[in-house]
Amino acid sequence: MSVRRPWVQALRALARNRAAVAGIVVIAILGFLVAAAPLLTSYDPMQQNLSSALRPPSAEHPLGTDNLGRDILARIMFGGRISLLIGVLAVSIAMAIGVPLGLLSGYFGGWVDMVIQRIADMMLSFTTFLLALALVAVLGVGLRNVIIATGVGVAPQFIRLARGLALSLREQAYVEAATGFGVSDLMILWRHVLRNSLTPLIVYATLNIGITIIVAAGLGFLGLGVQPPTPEWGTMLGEGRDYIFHASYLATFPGLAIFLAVLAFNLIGDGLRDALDPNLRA
Amino acid sequence: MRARPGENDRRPVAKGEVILRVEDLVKQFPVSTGLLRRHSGAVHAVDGVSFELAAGETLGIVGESGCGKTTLGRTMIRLLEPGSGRIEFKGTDITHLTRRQLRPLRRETQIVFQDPFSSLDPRMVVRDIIAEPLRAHGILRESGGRRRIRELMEVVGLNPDHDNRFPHEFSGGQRQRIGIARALALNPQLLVLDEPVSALDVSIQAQVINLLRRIQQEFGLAYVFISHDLTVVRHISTHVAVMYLGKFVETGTRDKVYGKPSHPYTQALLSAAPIADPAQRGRREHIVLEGDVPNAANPPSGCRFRTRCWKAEEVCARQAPDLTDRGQGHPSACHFAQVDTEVALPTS
Repeated sequence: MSVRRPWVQALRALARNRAAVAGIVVIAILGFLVAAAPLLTSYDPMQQNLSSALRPPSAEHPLGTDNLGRDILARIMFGGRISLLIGVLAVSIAMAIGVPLGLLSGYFGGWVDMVIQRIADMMLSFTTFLLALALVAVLGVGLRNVIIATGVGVAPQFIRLARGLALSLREQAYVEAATGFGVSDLMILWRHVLRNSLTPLIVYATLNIGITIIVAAGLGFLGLGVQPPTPEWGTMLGEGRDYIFHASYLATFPGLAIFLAVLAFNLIGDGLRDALDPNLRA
Repeated sequence: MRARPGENDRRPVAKGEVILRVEDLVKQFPVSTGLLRRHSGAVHAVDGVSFELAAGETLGIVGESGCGKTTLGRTMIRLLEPGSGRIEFKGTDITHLTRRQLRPLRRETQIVFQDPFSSLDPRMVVRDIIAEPLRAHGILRESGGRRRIRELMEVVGLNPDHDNRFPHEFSGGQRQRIGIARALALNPQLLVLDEPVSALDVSIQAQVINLLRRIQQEFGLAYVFISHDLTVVRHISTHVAVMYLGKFVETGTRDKVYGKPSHPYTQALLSAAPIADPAQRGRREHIVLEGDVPNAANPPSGCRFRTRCWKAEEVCARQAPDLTDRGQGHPSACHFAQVDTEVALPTS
């Protein structure tokens, strides 16, 4: 039986895309390092040891130690848990808010569209980062609020995308056909519009994980994100800023981790788009 | 509870009983211009159309693209909002029903679309596509569930074992059969067929037409068959209406319209139709129309066809001709209606 043939085809196309495969490999490695952190390092990411502060990379501390003598590799591995969690959860929040609003807005049009779009316009007039910054200012710092702020910060992007998808899908003949059979609007939204929007939404979500990681890291860098001593890549980057000239490894390695994770998610996103978009597929 | 129109009206309609009556139906689309999108006018896609259709009959609507036949087909079953006029389905006025009130009607009127590619959701398997109307009315289980789906697939000549395939795994003709099976799922009494074979190869067209005829005989459906192809309409219709710029210009039984065409436009269309008998070729008069179809937003005064008509006189610009019998035996909207058997097409 070949029920899910389009997905099999898409997976094959994805496997042929070297950049996407590289992205997947990087995320898989990061995921493993982060998940298995307690097994891979004997250092406690919070344990201070001032006698071994600011040591450059060595056999003992592969990525060196920070100003409080904590092992940077351990902090990056444990910090990755937080950073990746923020990325995934924030995008989930953004989708949970943006997709229903966008689909309703595009499908029904009229005043529903008017109201939702003006709100989205207002949010879009700030950049994502500024919006998240404002939200953190209101909500306060801390992991939970950073996730919420980042998620709401990218939500308008999803409203816009979902609206555009609904706008084009509602003109499809099969939607008109469904109306003709007496299928209700909500059922049409669920069965036809949402299902046919899924592919671009998944692609966009993957691309946005990278963006939310950067936004959250940016908040951390400014000291408005996850609070010390909890390790988080952006916060670590901010802490390393003071030592950038004589102990650059403090900022370099968390920065590298952010760079790798974001790049990998973007590569996967691009690869997914090429693999799933039937218009690009030959 | 107030009885909703059509709800307790699932009785079978006797052959010959009028099932759809359309009176002076108008459907206009607003035209917006300029930066402020002010409504500057309206295109009358359908402009005062009336007809009756009885169970077991097929009304063929022919006309060039853009003449409003598709709009008419959708408006008559309330897929589009009518501008004015009156639509009666089995004696009930359905012109102004709300969406909710329309739900029972949706069970009895169905539409088959021209494009067998875009009218089927690419992410659904055939089983779900055909089940959709049944699900919408919550009667999938009571109608027999999967057995019913397989049965419908057999009716339209598809292999029921292919019910878990996606539309893209079928050919155009097969996809149109899926569309027909879906339209039949609710046992409708009226089927609007909007150019159902235009996207298909000629050899497949005949198969689908024969299938539609068989289904009609079996279930006693009324068809509205919309097409630009005169020869296809001739095969399936009992009655024919020729449409030009939103109006019917000639109506009647198939034999009358094809055998005794009296409107210049009908004559021109018929003269251009290909004919199977080689001995007849070249003998028939061939009328070539000049110019293009005028802009529907700004139609000519009087008779809409006059700008392309070789019979046009001064009166045509002044007065729109009524669709009446002027002695030719069936209604024709021409001041100078005259039967021309030279261009007649055999209907057998």
